[in-house]
Amino acid sequence: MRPVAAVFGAFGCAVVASGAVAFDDTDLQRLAALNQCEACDLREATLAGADLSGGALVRVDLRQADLRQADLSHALLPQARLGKADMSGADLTRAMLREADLRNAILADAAMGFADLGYAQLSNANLAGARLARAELGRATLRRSDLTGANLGKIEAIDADLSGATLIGANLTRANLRKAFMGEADLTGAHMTEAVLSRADLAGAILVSANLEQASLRASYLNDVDLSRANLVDADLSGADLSGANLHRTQARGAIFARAILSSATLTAADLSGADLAGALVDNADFSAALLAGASFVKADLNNGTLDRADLKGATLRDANLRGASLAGADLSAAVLRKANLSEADLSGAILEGADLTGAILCATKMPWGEENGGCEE
Amino acid sequence: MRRMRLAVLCLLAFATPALAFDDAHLAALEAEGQCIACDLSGADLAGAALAKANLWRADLSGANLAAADLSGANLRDADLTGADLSGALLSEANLKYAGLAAADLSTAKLTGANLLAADLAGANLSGADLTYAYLAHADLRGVNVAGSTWQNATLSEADLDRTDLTDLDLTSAALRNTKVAGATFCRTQTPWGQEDSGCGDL
Repeated sequence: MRPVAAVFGAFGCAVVASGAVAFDDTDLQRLAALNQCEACDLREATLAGADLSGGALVRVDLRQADLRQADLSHALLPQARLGKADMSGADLTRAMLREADLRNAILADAAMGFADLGYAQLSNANLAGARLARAELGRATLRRSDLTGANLGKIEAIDADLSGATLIGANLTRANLRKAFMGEADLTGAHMTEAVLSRADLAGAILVSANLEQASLRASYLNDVDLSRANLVDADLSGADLSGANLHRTQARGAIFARAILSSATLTAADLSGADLAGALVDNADFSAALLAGASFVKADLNNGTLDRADLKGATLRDANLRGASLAGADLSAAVLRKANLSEADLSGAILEGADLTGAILCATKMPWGEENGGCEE
Repeated sequence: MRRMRLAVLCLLAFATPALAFDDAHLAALEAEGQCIACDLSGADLAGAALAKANLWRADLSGANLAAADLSGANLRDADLTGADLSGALLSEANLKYAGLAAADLSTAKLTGANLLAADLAGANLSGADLTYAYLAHADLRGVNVAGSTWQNATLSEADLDRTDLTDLDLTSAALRNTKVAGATFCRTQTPWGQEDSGCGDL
């Protein structure tokens, strides 16, 4: 009996405190008594700190309502209208918010673990520091939302729209973002270990210093992304489009770039030791001073690429196209260059100790010892 | 030896189809005021003085307990399906999880009784006094509550589907998360005022 009385007390205060009369007074009293109110008009209502846990609030109108620190855990809020509502610090754990409208809502530091936000609209919402671990965000719209420092670990966000969102330092560990739209998103320093981003669109996104270790980025769109100093160790980027991307000083040991597109990408001083770039399109890319020891470029197209001073010890470049590539000062000791096309390539100052050049095409090729034209066709 | 006697008892119990309940159990109840998990189905206990009796898990289905005094009795988990409890005194009785489906509780006194998660579907509560009764999570679907009193009663999380709440005063009842979607409200006094939304249905 006591907690019930306490609830009435809290609501009583709320009724007295709210001077604005945007909402329906009977609806507010009905909510206080029943903890449920279908399609009720509670616009601008003051419900800060209210206990609405487990409440049935289907299609409720809570636009611009004050729900700071409110307990909405396990509440049913499908299709609720919560635009511009202040829910900072609120508890929405396991709340059902499917198709809810939360545009411009304030959800800073809100607890939203396991919440169902499928198809919800959260554009321009403030979710800084929100705890969304294991939340369902499939097909949700989060355009330009602020998710700085938010915990999005293990979220299900297939086809979600996070374009232009700020995710600086956010935790996306093991998040499922398959086919998500994250164009122009700021993911600086984000924790994305083992995240699934296959077929996701991250064009123009900022991923500086992001941790993507063991993440799956298969067939993702990473055009013009900034991955400088990011961690891509053992990540899977097969078939991904990284054209124009910046991978300066990126750590990508053992990463898979098979059949990926890296045209005009910058990979200066990046560590791709043991990485798999078989069949990749790497034309005009800049690998200056990159660590590529033991990497595989089998059948890769490095046409016009820059590999100056790159460490290619033991790398496999079999059947690779290196036409017009610059390998000045590169270390190719023990590298396999069988049947590689080195026409017009510049290998001046390169180390070729123990390198296998069987069947390599040498035509107008600058070798450390001078130009070779033995492979020129008539 | 003991097992044999038990076997004989069981045989007797099955051999007397006219009597649903167990005579020995009835004797025990009368002598000790307690009969835990015993079979008193169909027993005639009308007007019996059973205040504070311990009838935990007893089978009292179809029993006649009209005007019986069960004040403060322990009837937790008891099966009272279809029992006649009209005019019975059940103040402060423990009826948690009790099966009271289709029971006749008309004009029964249930003040302060604990009916947590009790099954009252289709029961008759007309004229019953449920002041301060606790009915959280109770199944009250299709219950006849005409003329009953619900002052300070707790109905949180209870199911009131198909229950006619016409002319009831629920102003002081706790209704948090109570399923009222299928209930009929007409001249019903509620914490949010008089509710007449169901008057048209009548």
